[in-house]
Amino acid sequence: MVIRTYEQERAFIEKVGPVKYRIKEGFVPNMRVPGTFYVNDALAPLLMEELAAAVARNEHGGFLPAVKQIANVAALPGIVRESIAMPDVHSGYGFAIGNVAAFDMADPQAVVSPGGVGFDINCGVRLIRTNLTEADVEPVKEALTQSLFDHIPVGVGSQGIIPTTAADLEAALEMGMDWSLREGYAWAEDKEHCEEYGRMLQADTSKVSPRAKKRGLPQMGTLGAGNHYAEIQVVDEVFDEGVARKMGIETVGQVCIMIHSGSRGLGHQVATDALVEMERAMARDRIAVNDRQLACARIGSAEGQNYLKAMACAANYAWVNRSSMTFLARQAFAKAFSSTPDDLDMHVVYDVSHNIAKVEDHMVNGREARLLVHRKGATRAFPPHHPLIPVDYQITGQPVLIGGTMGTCSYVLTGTETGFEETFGSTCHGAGRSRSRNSARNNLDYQEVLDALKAKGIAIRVASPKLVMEEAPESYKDVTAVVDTCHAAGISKKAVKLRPIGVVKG
Amino acid sequence: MAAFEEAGLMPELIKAVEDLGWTLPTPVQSEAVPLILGGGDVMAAAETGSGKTGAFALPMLQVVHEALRQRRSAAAAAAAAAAAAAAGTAAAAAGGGGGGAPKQPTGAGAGAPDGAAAGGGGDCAAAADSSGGGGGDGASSGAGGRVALSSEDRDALLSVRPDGGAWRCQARHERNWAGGRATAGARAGKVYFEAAVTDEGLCRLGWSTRAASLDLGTDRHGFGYGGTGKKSHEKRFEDYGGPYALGDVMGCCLDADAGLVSFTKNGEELGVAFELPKHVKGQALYPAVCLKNAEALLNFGGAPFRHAPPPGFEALAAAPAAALVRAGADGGDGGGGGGGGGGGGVAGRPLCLILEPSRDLAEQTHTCVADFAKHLSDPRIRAALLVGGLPPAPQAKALAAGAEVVTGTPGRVIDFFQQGKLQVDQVRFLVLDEADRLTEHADIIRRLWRALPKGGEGTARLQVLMFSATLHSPEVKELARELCVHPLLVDLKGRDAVPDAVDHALVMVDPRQDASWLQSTPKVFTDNAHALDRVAPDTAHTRETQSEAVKRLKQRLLVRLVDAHAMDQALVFCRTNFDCDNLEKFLNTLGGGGPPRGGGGGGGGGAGPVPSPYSCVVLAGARPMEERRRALQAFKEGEARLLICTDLGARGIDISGLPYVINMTLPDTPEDYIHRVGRVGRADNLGLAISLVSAVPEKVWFCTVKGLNPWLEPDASNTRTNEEGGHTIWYDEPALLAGVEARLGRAVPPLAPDLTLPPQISARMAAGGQEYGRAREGGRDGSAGGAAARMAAIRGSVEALAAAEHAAQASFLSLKRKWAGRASAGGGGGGGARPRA
Repeated sequence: MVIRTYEQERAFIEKVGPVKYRIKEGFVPNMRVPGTFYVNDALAPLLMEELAAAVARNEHGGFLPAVKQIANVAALPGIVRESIAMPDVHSGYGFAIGNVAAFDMADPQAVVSPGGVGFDINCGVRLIRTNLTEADVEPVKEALTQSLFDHIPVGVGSQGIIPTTAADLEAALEMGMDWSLREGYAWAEDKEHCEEYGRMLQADTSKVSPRAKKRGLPQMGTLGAGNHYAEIQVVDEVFDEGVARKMGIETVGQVCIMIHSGSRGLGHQVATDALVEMERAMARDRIAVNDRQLACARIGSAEGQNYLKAMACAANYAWVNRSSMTFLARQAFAKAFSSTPDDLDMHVVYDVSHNIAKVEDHMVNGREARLLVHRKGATRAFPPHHPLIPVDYQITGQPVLIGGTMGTCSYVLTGTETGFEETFGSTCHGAGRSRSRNSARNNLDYQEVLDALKAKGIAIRVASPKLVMEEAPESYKDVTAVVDTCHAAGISKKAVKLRPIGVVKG
Repeated sequence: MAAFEEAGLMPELIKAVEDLGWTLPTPVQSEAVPLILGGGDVMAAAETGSGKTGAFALPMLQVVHEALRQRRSAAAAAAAAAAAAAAGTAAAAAGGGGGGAPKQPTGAGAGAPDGAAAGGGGDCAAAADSSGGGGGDGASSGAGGRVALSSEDRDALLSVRPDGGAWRCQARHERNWAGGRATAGARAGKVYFEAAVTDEGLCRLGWSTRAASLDLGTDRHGFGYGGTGKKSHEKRFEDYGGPYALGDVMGCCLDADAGLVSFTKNGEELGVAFELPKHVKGQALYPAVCLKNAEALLNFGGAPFRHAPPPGFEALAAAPAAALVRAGADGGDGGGGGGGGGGGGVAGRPLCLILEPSRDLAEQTHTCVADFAKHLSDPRIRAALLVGGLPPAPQAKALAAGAEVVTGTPGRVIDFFQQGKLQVDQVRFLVLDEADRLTEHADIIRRLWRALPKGGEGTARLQVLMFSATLHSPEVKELARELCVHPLLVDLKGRDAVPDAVDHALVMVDPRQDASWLQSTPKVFTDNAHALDRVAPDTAHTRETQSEAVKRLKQRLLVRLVDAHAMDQALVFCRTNFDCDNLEKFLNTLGGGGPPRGGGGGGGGGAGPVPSPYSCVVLAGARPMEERRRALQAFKEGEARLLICTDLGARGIDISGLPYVINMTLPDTPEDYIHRVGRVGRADNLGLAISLVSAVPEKVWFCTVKGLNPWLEPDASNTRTNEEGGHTIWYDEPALLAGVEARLGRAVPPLAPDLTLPPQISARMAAGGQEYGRAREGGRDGSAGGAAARMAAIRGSVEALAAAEHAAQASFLSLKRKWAGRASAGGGGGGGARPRA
């Protein structure tokens, strides 16, 4: 491997627009396409510093810097156009989190990679509106947060409240939200506002290992630790009234609930199983990659198909999970306000998946192509009139839910034409880590973080105290800078800004 | 380069696991590591061999390392601050024209808040605040800082509250004593505290070490003086000083230098009560109080004394910091500038205590800790092993040299603790590994736990981690309820820990129906429980004979089972080590070939390389480590067909594809049954568990006296039952079976009379083409088959839908292109065919 100085490395990265950079071929070996990333001037130094630090420490533990990971993905077989990264990009297992990569289904060499989806398959965000205002909630804020904490099981491994048997799990994996609907945990309208209608049809439960099912069974309907949360939020600012109204958001101060969760241990195990299986397939098919973490298999191979079918099950599980927690949140609110979820107008505004791979049609070099689009820490953001978005949002474009970090703002964006053309219809997914969990633990003070939240008037319930540091806003990029970058780049458009008043974390 | 990064592990630990060849975390690791790093109490259900040691040891090492670094930087900061303050005062003094710097360096520190002054080596000022807090006696605090009656180091029945610089304590139970201790003790100097008896009732006052029982004066570590006029130590109550009661003010004096404890009554000296024995010399003694339906007001110097201390004595709270030892995390005995003072500082004291049920496990975990910690430097983390069966001296030496992580077995650990060799005042982690096996030592664990500092708030709090094969046994639950605070559960198995790939069957052993126990060949070897009973056909109606008959039948039945199922390999569980020995002897006399490398003496006929169908090895707790290792190896390599083991011996062994488990006797508890059958059905291989269940009561040895082996020399007295003073019990297997069936949630079917599979199981096996020891195909209940059928049924629709989506997208893309030519893209308006909102 060539050892280059930081300046030499930096020369491969070129600024090509106000918030857009290109990673030129040659930055890492065998790049088939260039890399691209979107950052504004506030965020750019973070990536460059990470690269500089990696050059300085010269290979030792931990992940590669994000820019290297973006470039390594650009070297995967079958990748088209560009390896794209969103402003919230940071390093992850193999693929950077915030990386979008599309592979040509027509190319027999093209691959699918579990690392491009992430361990937490179909981790996503769901927004539920209410007809309450901040004034209604403020007096009971603490009690309501507590009630939410009591209703939604948070910790890892904690037993879900919704009873499930092995047979239920099988059905849930197969049917996704159709199972929730059948069992009475979801409303029919909820499905309408989910990607894929909350069910990936290619799910094949026989491709999910017994071990994964074992992990998944007790965790159905639980939030999970890490960056997952359930928040009570209020509308802080409306950027586009027409769009907001389409979402049922009428006024500043309106109360919403945001749930950020994924497929828990089941998804993790599906990913782990596939990584192991694919390492064998790579040797057999002689697939060479720059980084061992980029385990992948040809889309058409048995391993590739097995993964996609198992991933679909995990995705279904995540939807069921978010639906179960929606059910519990509705119960908590209905109890707190002696009303019914119906009367509180607790409809799902939208539900996005930001760790998933999907087959989609896009234009590549002036021609239509069927692509397998990997979005890891990136959200689909389809433009108005796209046939795969719900009827209700045909005019506005697809709602994109951007969860902030503990105590910071969240946003609702909408998809744009520019995004559809430039980024395969994708945008950012959240704030994105700026420091590793390990670094956050050592550099932040627990009490200060809590005091800061208190000062903002945010009620918080957290099961693991140290998580407070790892999840502190200081550990993340500024979500507003991230969203502004996407807005400035035109790959999505700001619609609504929300701020939290109650946080529940694992 | 590992996914461990996503769990938040530090690079040095990631590197260590990479060296071990781990790239992806196991399930229990990926679930538990973030939680432990998160700072909460964690209870995890995970089998041995599931990466459980890594799951607790990795995050524990990281937090310990963080704490050590914090401690160091805090010390550096304190030193810098002190230097700066000194420089500042010096400068000010110089400006004032004065001569040298202020005389006492402590004076500089006195300007800083209390906690910082005590900081020395303390790693969390916050804990110091909270443990000393609530007193509201800041004004009167002396150089030694505040001394309080501990709100933690007390019995639950003793209530404690601050009262005008003193501490009021009360216990209202009629029959039980309730004790408490102060937050600081003295190991040097002459110190004094006062106790006013403020209500009727019984009262005992004095001094004790942290290891002492709170029931003062009942062990080797406490020295008390009771209101009835008796002094007490080691449960010996001797006359001293006369009675005292309501209204009396007692003074408690400790001359730590001379090793004397004395008392005063209303200012009058009562003379020396105790000369401190050697084993407590040099240890800190803490003010202690013990009440029965009484109330007392303890004053350590926070309020004015009612009577002046005897000459030479000073208030405990006013004692110099160097003489004081504080309980809890705020190690105030670093000795402000005192220069460490030998081993007295908190540096090198354990931050983590790992308890293991057996020496082997402790050794394994100790090794793992060392492996994981090898890249941690600056500071390095040292580990010590405290286990029985090895000479204590080297262990004590390792501990004294400094060890941040201590792994041990409960017996040795409590010994060291009581001898004052193990200081637990810095412990941040208590790990109970194999917690279900540790419950028999629950008392020891409670005693240790009570001594651990729990004052830390938020991230500095004590973390209790319990790892167990099951979280659902009542004993484990009870322990967790006492020790853990809002534990997070990592239950990867759920309530139903029964491996679902295991079939269960039984053979009812009834000597009234099967008379083959009367045959003289093959020769069986039983456990001597009936060595003194006459066993013959004419006594067949006695329960002694029936019991012995069961023992004889079971050995024969084992052979028949091995034959009937053509078992390649099986794990055979016996109740005791002695049962293992006997079974081994029996199988070897069948021409079993004996232990493969044990000298070949057993079988004699072992000349040929073909192992006998009954070749066996033993993995029992009583066998030497090396023999067990060889036995396991031989079994794994197929040199021996049968592995005979006890519950303890089989703990943690992981042999994939093991087809059969045979229980010669059902275990005491259903949980043990689950453990046993968990040895098969691993990695989703199908397994069969067969239990030999005696239909009649069977008398078995039950001896809890260590070192006694009554079965080797049975006599009229030791073959009596426990109730009669002997060492046997009558074992009721049908009752145990009922427990197992309740736990399994289903009945265990008997094998057919020819010992072949019960019809329902054999039908299923035949239908699925299944075989024990092999991975099963799909789901056993056909649900996967059902899913496949449904998949097939909807395939057409799924494909049609995918085609429709494709067509819609294609049309979308082509319309876009068409319009792109005309107006600019903004002009919008849906294609007419598309539905509108």
